Amino acid sequence: MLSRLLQGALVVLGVVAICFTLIRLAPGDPFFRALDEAAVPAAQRDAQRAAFGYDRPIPEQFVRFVVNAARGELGWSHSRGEPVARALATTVPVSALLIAVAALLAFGVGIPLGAWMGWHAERPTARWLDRGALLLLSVPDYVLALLAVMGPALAWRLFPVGGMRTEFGPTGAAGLLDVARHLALPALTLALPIGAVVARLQRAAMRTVRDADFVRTARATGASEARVARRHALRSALVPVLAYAGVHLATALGGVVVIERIFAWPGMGRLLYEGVLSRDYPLVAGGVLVAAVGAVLGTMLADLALRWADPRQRGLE
Amino acid sequence: MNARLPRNALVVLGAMLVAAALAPWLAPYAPSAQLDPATLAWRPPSLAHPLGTDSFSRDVLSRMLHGARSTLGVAVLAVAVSLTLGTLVGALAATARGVVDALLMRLTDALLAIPRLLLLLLVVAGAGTLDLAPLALVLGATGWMTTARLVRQETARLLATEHLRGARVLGVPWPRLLRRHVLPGLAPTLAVAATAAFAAAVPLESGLSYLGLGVRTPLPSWGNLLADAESLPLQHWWLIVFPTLAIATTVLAANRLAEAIADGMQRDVDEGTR
Repeated sequence: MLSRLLQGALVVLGVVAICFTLIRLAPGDPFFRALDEAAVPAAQRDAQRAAFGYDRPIPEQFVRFVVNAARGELGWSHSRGEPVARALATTVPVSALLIAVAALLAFGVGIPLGAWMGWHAERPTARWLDRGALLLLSVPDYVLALLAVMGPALAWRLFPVGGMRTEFGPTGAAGLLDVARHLALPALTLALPIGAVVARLQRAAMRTVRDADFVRTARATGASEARVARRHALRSALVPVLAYAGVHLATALGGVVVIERIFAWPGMGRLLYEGVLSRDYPLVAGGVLVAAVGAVLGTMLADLALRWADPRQRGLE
Repeated sequence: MNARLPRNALVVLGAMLVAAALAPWLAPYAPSAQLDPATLAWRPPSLAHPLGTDSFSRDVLSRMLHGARSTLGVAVLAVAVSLTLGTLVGALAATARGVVDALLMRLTDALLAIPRLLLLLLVVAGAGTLDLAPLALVLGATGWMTTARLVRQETARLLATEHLRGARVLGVPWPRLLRRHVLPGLAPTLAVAATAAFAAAVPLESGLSYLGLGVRTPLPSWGNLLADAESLPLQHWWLIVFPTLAIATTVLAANRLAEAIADGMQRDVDEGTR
């Protein structure tokens, strides 16, 4: 377990290094727009850059970047006029809500559905569901979001088109319901492709396990079919699905940018998108860093779940 | 290898690629020609305009064909880049082993930990606007990691087989060993990696173009066609439906093909011919 933590820390350090490298590879620095004008005297430019440490050697800048990032200082966002850390602190929880609800939906529906599809793999319904899942996977997330906005939101007026709550809307319990109504479409569009992958993986795993010796043994003990499927087969068939869960999380974090932009969900994804448009480099790098650290933590959580599901993993220290 | 390749998927992919390659000759109009903004805008599909016209009276079929050119062209080039990079890194890691292997694989892990779209945003934010070729390069440069992992695993497996161990004992030099003995064995793995990478590149390119960060109008791409159609009322359905269908069928066909090849490899394993 300790070695796994250490590996995670190394990957995070690698991610920081990549973010830093990409920042330095980009032409100019955060001030090039504001400062590189004929009207700004050269001495003034140099003074401004020196004040933020851009005149230092690259290795020193990297060490500073790492130390500052470890302290939670991610630089200054010039498009928003506030520290990057504060901009992220207000938006990350909003995105986390969206991702958590979407993940619950995707895994909560995908796992039982996929398990059923695998257990009854020969039924036509199961086969059609599998094909449907593959089709769903082939429609990009932004197209799904676009269709969701055009149909249920714009044309049929079932859900609000965007945002997180109605302006000057209700508060208290009614306010929560209001947020839930705004959350429904973005969470669903984010959950659909992830749920489709989960269901297909779960189906394949369940199908392999179905004919295994230990399942036959479990059946021979006289356990009911449902109990065999749930207690014996599913627990073992969860392994590959959990192993991929971390990767799915990383995909979901990417999808958040697109979904939040289309549904005007005021989270980190939209912040990043706006950061890209205004070329606010520290903001984008800080956001990517936080997202990547989140993805690494998610992968490690998935590893823990894997240990619970697969006793063999525990013996392999 | 006894892969049963899905014929309809091959036909769809082939047709799309041919349409993209021959777009200038197949398209009835120039992609950006505004035929008559006063009378010919918003025309639903008809004989003169099989896929309708858009808000500027441009012919949607022509724009779709030229859009295929940018979307699929960028995707194919991106696959070539990511396949080359991934094969080099994976094969190097598997043959060098030790410290080089560990370093390369940790780099791969770190890059995989960053969601690919965010990695792309990071690059686009730095570069500002990207032309088609740089866009493809960037897409390829952010997509080689899964290929590298697959290739490393497969190369290590191949190197441990009897005939390769024999070749090494006979003193076959490394370059020749890799070219003559490892690369042919890698072919099915690379085929899976390439089709899967293609299936991932099409939504990414079109997604970036949709966000206004990839292919820029007036140059059409399937993604920015959808951006033009964004938040229009449902009456203008043809502006949404046709690009969506084009993207979905292409990606579906690529996904089906990748799965069929992977299934074929699995069957080889099951039957002990691998």
